[in-house]
Amino acid sequence: MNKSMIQALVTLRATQQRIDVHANNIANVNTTAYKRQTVSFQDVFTRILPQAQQIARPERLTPAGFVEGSGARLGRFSTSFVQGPLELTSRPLDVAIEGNGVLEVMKNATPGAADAQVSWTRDGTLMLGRLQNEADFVLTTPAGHVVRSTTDEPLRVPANHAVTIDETGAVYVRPNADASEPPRLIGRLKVMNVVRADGLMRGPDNDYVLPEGTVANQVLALYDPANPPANPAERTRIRQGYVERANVDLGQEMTDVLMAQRMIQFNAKSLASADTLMGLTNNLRT
Amino acid sequence: MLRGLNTAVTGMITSQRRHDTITNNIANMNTTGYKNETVVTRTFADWMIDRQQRDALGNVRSTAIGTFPLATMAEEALAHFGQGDVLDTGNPLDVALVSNLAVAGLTFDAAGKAVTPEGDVRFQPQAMFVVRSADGTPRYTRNGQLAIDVLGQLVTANGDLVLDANRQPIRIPIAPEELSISPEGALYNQTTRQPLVDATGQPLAIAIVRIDNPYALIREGNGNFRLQGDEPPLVGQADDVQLYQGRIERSNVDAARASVDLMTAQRAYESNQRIVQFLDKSLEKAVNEVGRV
Repeated sequence: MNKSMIQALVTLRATQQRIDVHANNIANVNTTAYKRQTVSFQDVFTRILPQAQQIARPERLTPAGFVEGSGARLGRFSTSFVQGPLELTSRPLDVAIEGNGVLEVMKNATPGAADAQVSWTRDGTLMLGRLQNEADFVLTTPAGHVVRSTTDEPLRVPANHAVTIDETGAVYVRPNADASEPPRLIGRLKVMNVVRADGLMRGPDNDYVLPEGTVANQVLALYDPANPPANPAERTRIRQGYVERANVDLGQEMTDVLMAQRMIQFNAKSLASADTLMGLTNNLRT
Repeated sequence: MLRGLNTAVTGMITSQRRHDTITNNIANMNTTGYKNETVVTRTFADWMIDRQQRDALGNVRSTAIGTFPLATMAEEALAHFGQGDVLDTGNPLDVALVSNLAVAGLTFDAAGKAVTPEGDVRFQPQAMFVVRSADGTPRYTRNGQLAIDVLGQLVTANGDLVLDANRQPIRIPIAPEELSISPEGALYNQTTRQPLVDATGQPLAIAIVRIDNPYALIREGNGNFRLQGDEPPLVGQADDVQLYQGRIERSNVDAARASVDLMTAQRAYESNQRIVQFLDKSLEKAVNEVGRV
């Protein structure tokens, strides 16, 4: 088969996948705390057609052999953890993370459940859920994962209580009936700093999980509000009453899609040209 | 048999190679750090054509008529190492090299070529990053889309370790947002303004090497090049090399030029195909008409 055709095909496939990545970013433009994915192209391994040493001439500039590439493929996918804009909702259970951080949550958190699984999310649209055989409510994510406290316990909110969450992630409750009662601390949100963003994998519920063979402390570190970083710009803060929007820039995504589309057109042209060459070969003897 | 038949076929193969190379350039129009390639063609070994006749005594005598090229071939695919555009990405782990290395007494043209007073052709040296590939040997690249792996090591987009000035992997103990890279490649902590250090306490810097003859580089794919021979030296203080953080160097393929080249290669293929057809027609005449009784 014609080498040009293979190159064009390989590249068309990679470009199609790139459009898929942008399409997914655009689809999630309204997903709370969605982090956009980026991907780049890489040239595919090169084949060196051997040439006999005898034909090498002193004028030639490169070592013997004719070097041929095989098109382009997608390189490393990465997630951009750039801060998304915060939107004021005034809903007491909405928390947005400002700065580097993810909330630790637990799937199937019923005590004694065998398939409990820890994951991390920035989606702070919290809900009140219930664990089996418990009277109190617990804080959960929209996907139903139970939010963990710094002591790895669920954050239990008694019925008819208002929730206040401060900048450090401390969660206080107070009965609705008696505003004079002092707020009671029920725990702190477990906020983890993302140390190696490339070590996190997207989970199914707007969350992040660890890939096989990775340990949590390689990728994440517990954020300690008592010993914040010296630079105020690096501190992680919890904002109650806000949600974080996706960090997708529609203009940028559309531009990237347009560029990818042009690239598809261009490679389709290469393909058509390669087809013409094959047609010419077929018509050598008419 | 007509000699031209073979020549025309080699012309078709050469045009095919040229077409393949241009297709690959088009495919890599958006590949970071990619360098455009052009095919150099040449005539294959010339043949001496003799006329043979018998003299008065009946001996065979040959008289040289001249040389006759029998074939053409695609000799080599030359990369054009010209600087690609630098695009701002805002990602602290993207780095772009902008280099204009000088050689004493020579002035390079836009193609990076200079002719010495003695008449020798020299090519402009190029600056490159050094990476360690999976087999443990060094490779050279202009693709500065870096990442930090789970072990905290600086890697390229295809997972090769980026090396420091001592040709050792670089461990980044801080978050990418806090990383600051100087135009010389030195690594700093943006907050504390302190240089990052290696295991022995020496300041860390991304190695930027000077490849004196860029045509000795052999392309391997994934943006990597292999170099035969000695390890290249690091660029010096006086060399005009800048590393830009938060930017990438785009491919230096020119789309308009590539389209035109593609058409040219296709038409050249077609012309050679026509010649094959003409020669075939001539043979047909010779076989079916000249020899008819």
